[in-house]
Amino acid sequence: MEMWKYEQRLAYTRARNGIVPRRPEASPLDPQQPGISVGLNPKDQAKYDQERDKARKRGVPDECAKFLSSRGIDPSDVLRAIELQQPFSGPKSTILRIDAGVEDFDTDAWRNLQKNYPDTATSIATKPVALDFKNPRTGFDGGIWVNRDLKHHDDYCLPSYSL
Amino acid sequence: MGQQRFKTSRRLLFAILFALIAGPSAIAMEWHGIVPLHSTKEDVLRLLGKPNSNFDRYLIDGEEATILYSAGPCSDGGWNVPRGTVFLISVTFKRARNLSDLKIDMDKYVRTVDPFVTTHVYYTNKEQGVRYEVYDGVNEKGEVLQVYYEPTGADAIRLRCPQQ
Repeated sequence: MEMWKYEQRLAYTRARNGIVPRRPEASPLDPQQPGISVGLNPKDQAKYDQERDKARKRGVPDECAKFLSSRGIDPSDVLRAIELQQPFSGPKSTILRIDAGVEDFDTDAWRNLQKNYPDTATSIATKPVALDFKNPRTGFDGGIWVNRDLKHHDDYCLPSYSL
Repeated sequence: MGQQRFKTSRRLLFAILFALIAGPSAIAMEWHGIVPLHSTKEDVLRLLGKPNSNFDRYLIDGEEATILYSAGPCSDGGWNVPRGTVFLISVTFKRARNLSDLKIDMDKYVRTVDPFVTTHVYYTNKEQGVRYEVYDGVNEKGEVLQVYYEPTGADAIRLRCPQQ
């Protein structure tokens, strides 16, 4: 396997259940270097806090809980994930896709890609998230990753329940 | 005069041979003279100046690019190159373009599906170090979402950091 530090990174990311690993050695003055997680500006942070409070109060709606359960996900994990989230500025952060907790690397699709096209897999995993956030054609990359059968992964609970 | 012509031809032959031996970097794709793992931040500033678009991007001829630099040998990104070396250039088009518009030889590209976003596919030419991310939805297909200029396969063998 050619994945650079892949196992360690995956274990770290998953063990922390989505917490973005912050790298204290990285300088926020170097926005074009990889591995930097930049926090939200005060306005966006306030909006994020407000939305998180709403999600806490609302809980997981029954319809959504049923759906998640049918896919093997414990609905309470959703709220736990919200508690553990560390928001970051997408366009300004250069943390790698594998570090950011925005993808599930524990899927057959990923393993197949890694086995058959290790270079492409490495490129995908080590791509800084900022590239997608800055790109008007790809935009936001996030959501709860369920499994390879669920094609529309980021809108399955919308609009009644938005993360 | 014949001997002079022979010398010139011999020089040309050596030049061609040198270019062939120099190998991968000679055929690596570049973006406005910038080649991953071969160009530095100084090269970028000299050739392109300071970023002229949002989020430290370069907007040139309808293409907007993010250029990423190494933080040091085997830092994030995984390349054994000095700090400040370009390791990835990501380019988007201001006006939507389809892959078919780019007139590239698809026989030289390997197609893979993004395992996370299955409507995105990659066409990779490892030899030249270029990868196109293309939208491949049910009804719409072919729009280029992003072009990555990345290290060539040969450079990757030389400079990819070993797994730790």
